[in-house]
Amino acid sequence: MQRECPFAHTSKPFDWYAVTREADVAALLKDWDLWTSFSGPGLAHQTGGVLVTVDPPEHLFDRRLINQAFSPAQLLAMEDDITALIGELIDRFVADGQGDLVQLFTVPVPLIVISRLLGLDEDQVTQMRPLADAVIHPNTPPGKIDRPQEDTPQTRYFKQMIDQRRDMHSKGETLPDDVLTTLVTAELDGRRLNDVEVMGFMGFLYIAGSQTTTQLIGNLIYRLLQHPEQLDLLINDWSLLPNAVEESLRFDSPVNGLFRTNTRETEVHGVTIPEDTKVICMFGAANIDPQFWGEDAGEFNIRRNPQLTKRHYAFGKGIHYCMGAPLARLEARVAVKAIFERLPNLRLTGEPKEIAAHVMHGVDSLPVAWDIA
Amino acid sequence: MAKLVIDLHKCLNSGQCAYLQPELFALNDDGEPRVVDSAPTGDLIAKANDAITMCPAQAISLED
Ligand code: HEM
Ligand code: SF4
Repeated sequence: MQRECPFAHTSKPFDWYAVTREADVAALLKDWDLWTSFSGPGLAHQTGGVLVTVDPPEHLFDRRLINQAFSPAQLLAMEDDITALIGELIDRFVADGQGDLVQLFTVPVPLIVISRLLGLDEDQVTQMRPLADAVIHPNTPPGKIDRPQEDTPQTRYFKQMIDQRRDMHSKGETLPDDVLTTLVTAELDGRRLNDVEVMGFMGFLYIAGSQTTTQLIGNLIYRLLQHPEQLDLLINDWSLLPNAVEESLRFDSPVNGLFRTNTRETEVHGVTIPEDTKVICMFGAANIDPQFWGEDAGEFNIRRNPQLTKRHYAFGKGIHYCMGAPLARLEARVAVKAIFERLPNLRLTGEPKEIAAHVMHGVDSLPVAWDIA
Repeated sequence: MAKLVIDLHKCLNSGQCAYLQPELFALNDDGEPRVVDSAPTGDLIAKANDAITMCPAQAISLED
């Protein structure tokens, strides 16, 4: 794809472009002054919101604020909690001997973890899941979703939780140690968040962290089942696990690509791009660009040099680099190790379905069987 | 005096350090970060700590 067409053009529903080579994706993501996020990372022009739709300097405020509850150190400290939660989840279906691992496992894992982290009720979060799915579904009208101002079951639930925390706070009660408490009480540069902003952050974290991590866990399990020799390597040497996670992120980027919008006319590969044009950075394509990775770029290999593998674009790069990356990596490590340890002789019993949403890449079903002790 | 260092082996090339604190960090053309002021003092200590807590790879430290 990169060789014939490094810069692709589409005219539906309006003119937009795609960069696919590693060098071009790197260049666009680096030049955030020209290639901005103010009209959102999706194809639809979308303004307002937090983090991914904000440019510097406001963007720095958002990141530093979230970091108060979401720093890499705090996320990594959740390892024991996450291991316990995943263990309990597997207890629920381990005796079945067969099933669809997407429904049983890869969908619930991130929802359980994010509920714990944000301070939300797991059942409520699971019920809201179709909403999170809708955001990335190709048939969802742009701008319809994730609007904290709108009256939806999600915003009503968030509002109720926020009111409860503010009430406890004003009575001087001890608040639970979670992201919601931080958002409700945090102060940065003398500023506090209002309810709509808190809802915006909560909604965004919940959406950013669920489908993406589901895809990572499912993709890695699927590739290992497809490549038994690599699975053997891993099971005999779990120190390869971080490499396996990185290689999965590279080879099967859960997010195919995200958009930037230019603030002035510019040129890419000799094509003049008028101001305010959407260009998508194809992370998945950049991740298998042979000019960067070498001729074996298209092979899944958990023993690839980790110092090279880590340069993938699955979490974006530069100023908007994924804030959930340490958590997603941790969840994937714990989940994949637990699944192969607890489900002996795990094997595919059918072909997985590919997920329908264009922005995502991964499996939508994973029919498997395993031996019961 | 404390010395600001990046463990390039751990670094995941996010580019965050150079974005957060351009007085202390810069990126090479290939996206590899480097320390531009390895002996921060005064205000710059707090700035170094900002990058330390936000580095997604926990690759930055101030060493005695
Ligand atoms: C494998 C799982 C994940 C993948 C592949 C992924 C991917 C990405 C990508 C590509 C971006 C860059 C957006 C851009 O450049 O416009 C991003 C940003 C972000 N992600 Fe993730 N993500 C994952 C998991 C998570 C999790 C678990 C969370 C938190 C619960 C999270 C929170 C965020 C946040 C807050 C940002 C915004 C950063 C900013 O705009 O400055 N992500 N993610
Ligand atoms: S913030 Fe950390 S991971 Fe990112 S480039 Fe700097 S040292 Fe590397």
